[in-house]
Amino acid sequence: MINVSYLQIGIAIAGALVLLFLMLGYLLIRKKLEQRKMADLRIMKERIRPLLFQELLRGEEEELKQITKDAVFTSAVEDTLKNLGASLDSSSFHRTIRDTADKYLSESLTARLSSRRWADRVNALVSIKDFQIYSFMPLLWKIYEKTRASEEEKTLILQIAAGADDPKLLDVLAVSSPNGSTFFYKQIIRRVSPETLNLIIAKFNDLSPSFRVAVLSYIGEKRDLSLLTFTESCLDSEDHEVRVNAVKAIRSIGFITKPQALYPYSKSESWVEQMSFAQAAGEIAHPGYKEMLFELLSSSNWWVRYYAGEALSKFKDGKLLLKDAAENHQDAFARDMASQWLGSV
Amino acid sequence: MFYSIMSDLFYYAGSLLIVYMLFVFTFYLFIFFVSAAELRKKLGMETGQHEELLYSYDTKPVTLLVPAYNEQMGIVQSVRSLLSMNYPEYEIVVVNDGSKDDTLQVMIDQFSMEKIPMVIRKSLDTQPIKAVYQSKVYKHVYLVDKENGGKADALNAGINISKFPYFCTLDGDSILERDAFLQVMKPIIDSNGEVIAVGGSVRIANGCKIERGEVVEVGLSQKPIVIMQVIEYLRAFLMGRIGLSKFNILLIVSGAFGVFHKDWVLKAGGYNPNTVGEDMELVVRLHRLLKDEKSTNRIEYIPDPVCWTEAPESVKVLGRQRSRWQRGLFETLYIHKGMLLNPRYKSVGLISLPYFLLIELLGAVVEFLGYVVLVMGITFSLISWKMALLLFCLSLLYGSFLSMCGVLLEEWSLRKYPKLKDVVKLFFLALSETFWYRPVTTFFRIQGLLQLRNKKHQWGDMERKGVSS
Repeated sequence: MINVSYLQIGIAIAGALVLLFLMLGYLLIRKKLEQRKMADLRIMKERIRPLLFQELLRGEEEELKQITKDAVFTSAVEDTLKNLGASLDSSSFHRTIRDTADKYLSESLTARLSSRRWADRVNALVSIKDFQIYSFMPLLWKIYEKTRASEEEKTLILQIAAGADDPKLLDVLAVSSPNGSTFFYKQIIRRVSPETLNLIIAKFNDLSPSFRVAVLSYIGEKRDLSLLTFTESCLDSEDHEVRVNAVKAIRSIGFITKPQALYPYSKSESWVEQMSFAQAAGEIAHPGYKEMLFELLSSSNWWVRYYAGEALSKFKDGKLLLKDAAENHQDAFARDMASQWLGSV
Repeated sequence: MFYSIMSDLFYYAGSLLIVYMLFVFTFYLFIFFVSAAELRKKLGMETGQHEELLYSYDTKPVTLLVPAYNEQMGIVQSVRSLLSMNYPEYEIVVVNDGSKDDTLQVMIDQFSMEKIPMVIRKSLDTQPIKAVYQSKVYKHVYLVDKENGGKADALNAGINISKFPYFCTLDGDSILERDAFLQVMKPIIDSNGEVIAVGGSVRIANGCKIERGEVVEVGLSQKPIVIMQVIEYLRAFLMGRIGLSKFNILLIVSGAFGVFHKDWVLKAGGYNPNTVGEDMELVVRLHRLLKDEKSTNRIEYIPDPVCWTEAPESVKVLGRQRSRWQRGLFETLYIHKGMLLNPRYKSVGLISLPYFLLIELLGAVVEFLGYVVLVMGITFSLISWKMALLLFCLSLLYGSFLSMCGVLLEEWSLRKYPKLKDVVKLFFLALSETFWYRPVTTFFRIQGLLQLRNKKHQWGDMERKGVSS
């Protein structure tokens, strides 16, 4: 069955050992080079930091111009500007950072965008997004249309386009999207201008389900009262997800022009809608909701009971309401839940 | 006559071993290439782009379940490290599973816990809950005191108490990276909930510098037995799990750190208290449920190191841990034997479960036989030196070579060990694996199989020293 010579076995053992030691050699050389690269980068950062400040604050660029523009220099500029951008809040300073990044990094970013390595291309896109260098848009649309562009690259390009408020963005999204998640659309909506958001809202019924949820979720996140009328109009939608997310947005805003618009939700056949109602009712605290919440305390769904109890605890007279429920509610589960929330008031 | 029969027997056993090891080696090599391609792709990619999630309205709230049994040494540090997590909304539920030490009192004292009346939603059956406490200082920290029922039972009790749609399981001595939840929740958020469970990399904390519940400097322990476990973890997590996750056939989301969608876990029936391998058993059951329901949802794994845990430093404790793992593996495979080679369960039934049966479970038996054939064969001249050399050569490839591949993947991806001497240490210990560590763990794994009939399903006895300072 086994027909091998000692020589072959010897060669196999030696081969395995040589391979293992080659691996070690590779790892050590790699580690050493990495350490050297990091040390060079650290020194360069220390050198350019004061010079970058001079340029950013006073526009003095002479000394920085004299440094050789190699890979270490661009990495150091990129890292330093990113750190500055993250630690400073002034929008005018962000504009200066963007212009400086454009000036020193454009060449290297263009080269990295056409790199064969996926991670290089993605890192370049992240930098463009962070520095908001929108002059790259024409090149980025070309990359977007390439078949080899990955989902991550396309997602980043669309985020950059949203930040640039690029007119092509909505057309591209209408045809196809690299990622259909709500989170993806939220990342787009957060970046567009109010005018573009209004355009999106105008086409609300034609949007994909995730996009619609993202719009409502964004309104809740921003607590934007100017969009309350639109949000309230979604309460009558035939789409369950739209209805639930409209209630969630109203809960976040904490206000509704017609509190009665939520009444049908307390009697909904869907426990999710009943729960959303209870959560919103707690935030709005309209007296008309008290009776419905009292009823919901005896819902067959634990979550509805839980949030009905929480909502009652948020009313000014919450303690009294819960005390009454804990003592007089005809349902034992409702009494237990009311007692639990009574303990937390 | 007898000698001739034995000689033939040893010859065929040796030949079978060679074929088996070649097969396993090829399989692992394939997995290595898949993982390497995945990690190479992301090499040099900047991490830490989670800010948008951190302030986002879209992050799903998570309940952190910390089952604790005799964890008085590490539980406070563990909870403290959880309190400083970068995540918008979470609650911490520590479940004291009838500890015999002062776990309960230490928690009450350190976090000013007070008893609260709580309506418990009994979605899963558990041992009776004696009391629920809430911290007066940190309102999102809860402590459940229940009667002893084992880790799975404690986790089920925690699930009953939890109020968020996702839960994360943690060991009592785990130390998490600050962005751990942002990292593990990202696949769930990006996929619009299509991903129902995510496992993260678990790394060994022994030898690392830990301050205020955070790993501030990664280092290697001085103890060879710990370094070997570091190598083993690198091999298992960076090689095995990335490769298996790529094909959605990952069967283990480590109990030390994993995030699950609660509804799916409830639909699957929660953790099974009748096995010591409750984490693997649950994941297999989730796969089964997904396939039965023809769902496109999936289970993922992220290679970023998100959790640090304490590894056993003595052979005795390591032995207990390994025999326990082996029993857990056997029990899981036994419970789900119907899925094995069943085309209905596609890649999980046809690839993943056979892999765990043939390589992970029976591997211990085969390796043990290998040592018997090698030692007895040479001692009584029952096998030729040629075959002995061949077996040795293959076990070198099978053990040391693949472990080095794990170390290589670490350097390609995370590069957590900053010193050159750490890489050298990892290399030479990986090289020595075949000679001492593998036989020792093989022995414990066999022991685990032999204990199947007698051992009860109780907590592992870890003798924690506490890795935090």
